[in-house]
Amino acid sequence: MPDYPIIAIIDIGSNSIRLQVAQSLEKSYRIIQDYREILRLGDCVFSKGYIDGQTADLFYKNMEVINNLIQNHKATIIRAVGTAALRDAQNAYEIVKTTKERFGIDIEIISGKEEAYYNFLAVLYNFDIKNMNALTIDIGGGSSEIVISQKGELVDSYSTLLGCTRLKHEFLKKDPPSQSSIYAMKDFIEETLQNLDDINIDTIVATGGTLNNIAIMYYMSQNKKATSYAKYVPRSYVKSLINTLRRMKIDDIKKIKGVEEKRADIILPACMVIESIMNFYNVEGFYTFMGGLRTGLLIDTLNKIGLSFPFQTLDSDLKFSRLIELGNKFNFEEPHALCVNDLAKKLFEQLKQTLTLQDKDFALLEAACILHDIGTYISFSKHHMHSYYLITNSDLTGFSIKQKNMIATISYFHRGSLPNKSHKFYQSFSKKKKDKIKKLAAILRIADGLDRSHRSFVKDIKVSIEKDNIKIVAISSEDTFLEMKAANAKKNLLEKVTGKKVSII
Amino acid sequence: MKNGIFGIINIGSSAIRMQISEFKNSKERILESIVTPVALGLDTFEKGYISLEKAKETAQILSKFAKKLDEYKIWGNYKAICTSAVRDAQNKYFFINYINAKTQLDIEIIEETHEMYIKYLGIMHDIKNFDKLSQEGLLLAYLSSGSLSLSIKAGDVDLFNSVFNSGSLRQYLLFKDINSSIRFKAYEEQMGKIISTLKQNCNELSKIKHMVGCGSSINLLVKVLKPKSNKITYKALNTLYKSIKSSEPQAISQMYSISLNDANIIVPIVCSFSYLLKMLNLDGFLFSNATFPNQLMNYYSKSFKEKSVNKKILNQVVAYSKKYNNDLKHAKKVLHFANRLYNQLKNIHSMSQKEKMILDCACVLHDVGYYIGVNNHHQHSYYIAKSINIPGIDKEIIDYVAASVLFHRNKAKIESEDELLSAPIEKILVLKKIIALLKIADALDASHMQIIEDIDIEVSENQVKITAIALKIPFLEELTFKNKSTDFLETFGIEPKLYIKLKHE
Repeated sequence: MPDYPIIAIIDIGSNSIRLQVAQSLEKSYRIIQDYREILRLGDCVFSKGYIDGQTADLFYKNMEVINNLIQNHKATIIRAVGTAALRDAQNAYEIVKTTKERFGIDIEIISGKEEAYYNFLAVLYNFDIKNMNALTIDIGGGSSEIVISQKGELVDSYSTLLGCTRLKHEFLKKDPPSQSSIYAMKDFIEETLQNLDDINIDTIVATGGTLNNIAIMYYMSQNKKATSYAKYVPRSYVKSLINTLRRMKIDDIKKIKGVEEKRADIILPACMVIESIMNFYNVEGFYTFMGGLRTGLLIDTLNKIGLSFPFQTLDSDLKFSRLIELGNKFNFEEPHALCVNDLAKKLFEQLKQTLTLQDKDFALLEAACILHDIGTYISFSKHHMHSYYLITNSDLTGFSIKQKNMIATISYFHRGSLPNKSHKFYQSFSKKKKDKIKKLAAILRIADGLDRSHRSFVKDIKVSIEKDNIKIVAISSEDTFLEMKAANAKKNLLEKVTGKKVSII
Repeated sequence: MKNGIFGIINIGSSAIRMQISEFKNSKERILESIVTPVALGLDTFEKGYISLEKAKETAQILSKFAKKLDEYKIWGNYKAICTSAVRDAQNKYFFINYINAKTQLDIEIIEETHEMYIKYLGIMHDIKNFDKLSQEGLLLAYLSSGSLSLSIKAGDVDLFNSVFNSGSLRQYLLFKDINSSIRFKAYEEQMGKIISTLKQNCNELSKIKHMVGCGSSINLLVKVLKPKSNKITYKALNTLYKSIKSSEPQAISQMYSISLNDANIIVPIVCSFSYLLKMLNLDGFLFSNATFPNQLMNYYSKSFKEKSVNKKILNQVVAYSKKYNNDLKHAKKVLHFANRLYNQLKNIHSMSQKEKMILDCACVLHDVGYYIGVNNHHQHSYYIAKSINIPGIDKEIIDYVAASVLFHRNKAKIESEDELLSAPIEKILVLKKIIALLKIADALDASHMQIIEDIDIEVSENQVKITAIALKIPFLEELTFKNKSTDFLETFGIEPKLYIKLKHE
């Protein structure tokens, strides 16, 4: 394997300072270190206009830890960026200079528009927004960066003063805040938003630590595990949260389940910004994920040294390339995965009417085909269970959490016993979803069987469907004993879901 | 080892075997050795369950064996073990219960990896210079009626371990409806699949210089090939293969004076071994014809001894962790600190050698979960640890190690995990001790940068003073220590305090 560089990204925000160290790979990267400290430079800058001595000391102390971490990981490319707090600090130049002298690290102070662009890159990498109009917003401490895109193309970007620390300092001076100050803040937010394009928005993707914290609070309030990478928060929750928080003291907010202590005072402003945006565009919820700016910077940095990502270079869509990346991470047999996918596609096309499946259902099957064997990385025996675990715990771009769990479940059933009452994770789906899982898994099982030897011997499939029978003819110029045996042994689920006798020859 | 008489019953796929041996001054004298064919595998491998008829037949045979236990008065000194034919049967629990009701015998199903371990010990004692061969790179192939287990060793560690459902009987049953003149092609495809799996999962096949065969298949091979020493050559195997691969079983049976059943399974046996030799480019393999009952006898009567087991286990675990890009520098530092704590605090913790070994393994594995994802890496580490299947590491140890790595982060709390709530208090205590030490050791290298080189430990009446010799001020370590040392106080009732001494002051 050629040596791919190790990259360190430092994000000096108004709330926190973060380091992310990543090992770049051929067409992807792997995070090897994540460090964060909530410093709240913004508190100082937005109230005093500059970074005072005490805060600066704390900042350098953290830079020292970060610098050590970077050296330990032998990162060769270091990219440090400062956002709103440094943009606004009168003594930013001194801080940049001292950092350079003491640690040899150059801090770039980036503009709001640049920030918006990086964030958009990260959203593009993580979500399938190629077929929709999307608004992405990064709500930071000092500013909010907004990008509007149509079918994956950036149309407009804005840098606004809607940062949650800034809003807090400008408006919420009392604890608990006076109701009039809340209205004043609301007016300010709405006025700012009037500048945005008034187009139809299908999806809002919001990033920033505080929004992520709100998502965690929501998940905890629903007793859901907040472990997934991307989260969805409905507007109704944000509304009710605003109503609760607006009368609370900060010390009481800290006691709410899931609240990060150091963010307790800025949750309300963040809620109000996102709620106003949902109101403005009439959208009923937003998606969020961790580390927008950092991910975007990482992609941009990799691009600058000539490495690009499948979603940027290949014609095939983003979802698919992320699936291949994930497969590679777990050392999958790519030819087998592609062969199964190809066979499954052929089966799907010829069976979809009988199975009452829609074209869009194939996306789930495709993902399951690519990933069904990744569990062998953990252990060969019971690998279908391991595939399930790895899929549910990985980021699958462009799929909702529910869809990801369906993909994991379909992969689970690619071998072994048929879905039954003892499979609790399967039982947790609605009847309609269970039905779909069964049908798609039925196809996967046969497709996998038809490449049992992992040599891609079967080239084509002809399916003929009669009243009580389904005949599947596998076309190959090689001996396919194993394939025939395996496919016939795995046809049981298809027989069950169609109620027809299946013969494979 | 005790003197006395021991009985072993082994319920295999094609026969039930019993061996009774007397041990006197470490010498074994076989008193009786009985083999009664009953093809349980026929049922399990074809239908998936054991028919009542076969269960009855087994019970009749075992009643006779039970009388032997009466005869030698060894009801307190026997083991009855079943392998894959029962292990893989859907109605295994009914079968065991039925046999117990009819014969009073307590029969146990042996786990795959444990079975491999016992066979490995058997071979190790049977083959001359085993250690040398194993150092130089060795493939152990255990081929029985039900399964083919492959284990690859090089240096001190296992590079690969897996059990494939490709025993000779199972293969024959799978393909028996294919015309016998071309059936060998199916066996070849099957082996091709196994070999491609091996190549995919072990990229050091070229290191392997030796192969050792074992299992019930060997006796049949020896009967047919009549080798002069304990080596079977590729040449002999290949000549045999050419002459039998397309022959009718009746013809093979006559030609080599073996039973028809044996004639059916000899082709897959020869095919399996010759394919493995060809893959490794070797001119032959050594074999051990010790029977499985014989190996079981030696194992359960404790006449097998392996030297420095704990060290070997630790080496295995280190090798295993590499697959997950483990930060070995960090792992080894944590291990070092844990060792210091363990040695200096013996009076306080009174932990056993075995518990120490669990601690060691947990030190190595606590961070492997990062490979799956940065979020909740402790849960992923738990999952990975739980999936270890290395022969020689039994399940109890794995469970402890997995639980320890899960709780190495403050995020996970013992009280909240259901699985452990039901564990007896002694077990929880063992776990708490391990976790308390692990968390301190981990905190001392929190930055993963080995800033703290070493520690000194002094115990006084009301505190454990840990003096860390550091290269520079270990900010992160101090902070983490504060957060992670509460477990120690809560477990041992004494507070650990960290003092920093700079090395270059």
